[in-house]
This record gives sequence, C-alpha cells and structure tokens, in this order.
Amino acid sequence: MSSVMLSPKKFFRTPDGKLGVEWADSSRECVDLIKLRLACPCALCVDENTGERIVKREQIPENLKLESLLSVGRYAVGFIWSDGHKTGIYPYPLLKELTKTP
Amino acid sequence: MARSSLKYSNFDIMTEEQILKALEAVMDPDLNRNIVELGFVQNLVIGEDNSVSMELVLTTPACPIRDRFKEQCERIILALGASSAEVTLSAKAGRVSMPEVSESFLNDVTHIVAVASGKGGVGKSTVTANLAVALSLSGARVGILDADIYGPSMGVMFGIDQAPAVYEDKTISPVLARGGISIVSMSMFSDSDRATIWRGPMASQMIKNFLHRVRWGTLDYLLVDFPPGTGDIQLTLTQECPLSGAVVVTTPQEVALADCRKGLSMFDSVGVPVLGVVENMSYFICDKCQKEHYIFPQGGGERISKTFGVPLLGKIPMEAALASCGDQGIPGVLYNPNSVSAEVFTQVASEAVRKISVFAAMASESLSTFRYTFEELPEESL
Repeated sequence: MSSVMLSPKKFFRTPDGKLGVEWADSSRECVDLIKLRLACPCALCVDENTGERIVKREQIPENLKLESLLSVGRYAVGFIWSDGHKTGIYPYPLLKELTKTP
Repeated sequence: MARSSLKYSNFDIMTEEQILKALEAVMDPDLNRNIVELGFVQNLVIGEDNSVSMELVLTTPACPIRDRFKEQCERIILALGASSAEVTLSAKAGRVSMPEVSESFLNDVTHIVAVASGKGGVGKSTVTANLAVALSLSGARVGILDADIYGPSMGVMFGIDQAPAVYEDKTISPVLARGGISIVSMSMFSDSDRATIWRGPMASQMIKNFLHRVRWGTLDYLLVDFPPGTGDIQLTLTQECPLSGAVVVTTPQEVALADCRKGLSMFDSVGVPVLGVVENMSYFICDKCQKEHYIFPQGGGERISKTFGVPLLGKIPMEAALASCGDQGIPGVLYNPNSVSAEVFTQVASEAVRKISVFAAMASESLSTFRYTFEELPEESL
C-alpha cells in the first residue's frame, strides 16, 4: 500500500512565489508555478490516446497566477488557475515528482 | 478542580499528577501510546472524601477494549488509595471536516468507510448491513450510504418502506431503519420494478447529492456500500470524500479473488487505506449436523491477505437459519445475535474499528480536506 503515506502536511508560498509543500515525512520542497501548470495531467493538456502534451508554453499567459488549491479525496490536489483552467487533478506521487526539483 | 486534603490514612496525599503518572501504565495496544499521552483522560476530579472521578474520551464509542480501559483505570485509581473510582466513557466526535463545502452535511461524520469489491454478488450489501448493525450494537452512531445506483439493496435488507423527508432547500433526511441505522438508498426514490437507466454523469451526480445533500447528522461511521467494479461511481466517491478506509469483500473462488485484487489496487491508487479483506460464503454450516462444509476451495482470503499485506478480517459462513434474513429485512446480526455469522461480523467490526483508529493516528498530521487560495498560504522559505 504505497501511496497511503505520501501526503502533504502543509502548503506554503516561498519568498520567490513558488508553491511549497511540506510532506508527511517532513521533507520541504517547492515547485515553480509555470512548471506546475505545464505538467497538468488533464485531458485538455495531454492527448488521451497518444499521451502527447498538448499544452504549450506559449499558450500560458505570462502573468499566470495560481488562484487556489483543493483536495481531491485523499490522493490528489486540484489547482485553479487565473486563466480559468481547473481540470487538472495531480495525484500526490505526481506532485512529489514535480517538487523534487523546483 | 478539587484537590485532595491531607488524609490520616495509609495514603497521605493523592494528587492529580500522581494519578496521571499512574495511569500512564494503561497502553492503547493499537496506537502503542499510553492513554494519558493520547489525551484520553479528562475531567479528573479528586473529591474531599478522596473519591476520584474521571472521563475517558476515546477516539470511537465502538472501541473494542473500552471496558478493559475502564477497569484498568479504576483498579489503578483505587490502588492509589482513592475511596472510590468512577470512570465514565465517552468518545470524541467529528474529525472529518469539509469546511469549504458549505452545503455538505458530512461535517459531523467522523469516519467514512467503503465496503467494496471488484466483483458483484459476493455479498457486499449483506456485509455492509451486518457490519453497520454490529457497530451500532457496540454503541456507535452508524449510517449507510447505498451507492449502488443501478441495483440498490439496502431497502430490502432493512425492510424500508418509507421515503426520506425532503426539505425546502432540496436536502433530505436519511431513513432511520432497524438497529438505529440512518440509511439513504436509491431504492427509496425509484419504483423497485423499474430500472434506473442512466449514463455515468447522472449516476455520479446522484452520488454527490447522497454525500452532500443528505442531513446525515452526527455519525461515528458512515458505511458506503460500493457498487461492483472500478468505474465512474467509485471514482466519484473516492474523490468527493476523504474515506477513512475500505473493507474489501470477496468469496473464496479464484474468479472473485481476481476482481478483489482490482478493488484493492483501486484503493491503493487513490490513497485510501484498506482495513482488510472479508471472505464471505467461506463455508456452509449444516443446520442438521452443525458440520462445516467447505463448498468452495479454501484459503482464497488468506492468499489475498498475504499477497497484498492486508489483514483477513474474518470468514463469514453460510448458515441456513440466516440465509433469508436479508430478504426479510432483518440483518443476521440483529435476527440471531448468537449465530456463528453474527459472532464473526462482530469481530470484523471491532477489528475494522481498531484499524481505522490506527490509520487515523498515522495520518493525523496530514491534511485531509482542504481548500486554500494561494494568497492566503503562509510565506515561508524551504
């Protein structure tokens, strides 16, 4: 039962505007917001059949802001962006992968 | 708080600190910490006559060892020289919080527990109904959400013939059924002979209504009777509410076990801890000779339990005397509490309750349900 214990204890903002996560094992990591947005796993951002990434850097507004974040069950977090995009569900293992390198 | 005065007895002064220190000897075997450290001991009062009263606030009213705790505490307090010891038991309520879903009534539900299997016909609903009654008999407040939209069975299982009350704000009350169980089921809304023919999104919407628009009230456990499979409804359930754990039901045959594995892996991928496996229809108890007949191959539940590292919570026999209970609207545990099945269900319930407490303690530091704006997050460096 691997993913059970991979969960966040706390979210925070880093001084340079990144999203910080404190994980259950007390490790503290962060991720750049644009990188986070580009990694969105939803069907609008990734082709369902080929797995090809549809969302491009150029399509994302320069001043993109993260509006809010909310839990999805016990396994994932959803993000709502200032450009209205809100369909991405990031399972904690994916978020962990993203926060490993800011 | 009253302090003991100096007494001219064998025991001179008994202070609150002394009592607390002594009570540290009482360990919770599941959480591996003592009851003082866990904050269970509250409202400790030492009277003028050296009588001691205290409250034991447990994590669940269904705590299987609550009487042992009570007895141990009383013995320790008396041994310290108290003239009398009075220990009252109570339970903490409401841990699951969903602050942002304002219209949700799940706020006062402490634990939401899935009863599921990959396969149909293994007896999920029978297990759900009997676990609910067993938990209720042990003192917990219990509800059942029948999430099987297409083949609801809770109506028949509990002999429910009334519709739930509907309020002006389009919320409903669950029906209070036998054994004190609050139930909501699709069977209350549809004609039993007519099929509900819906596509996924409609079924999912109904599930959301069942979760958030039902006035569940204060419950210790809300059991969710999952429909078979790993599709739309199951995904909605795992996304819409923080499940405390899942009980996976199987039968001994290999074909059921294969689907059971899928059920287990589904909960694994959505971060819901599996409390254990229940093997239903394990053997048949002959009503004439009382002999146990193993109709299906043995050891299936054990194999699953070993492979996936989840406990086997119990093996439910088939008993002729109980076979028609579900159809009559009285769950077996209520109909014949002395039967072998009832005994196993009671064991499964108390084992599940222990597991829930353990997992809750393990995850106590993790965020369960949250909704933040990015702006309101605290600014911190790594």
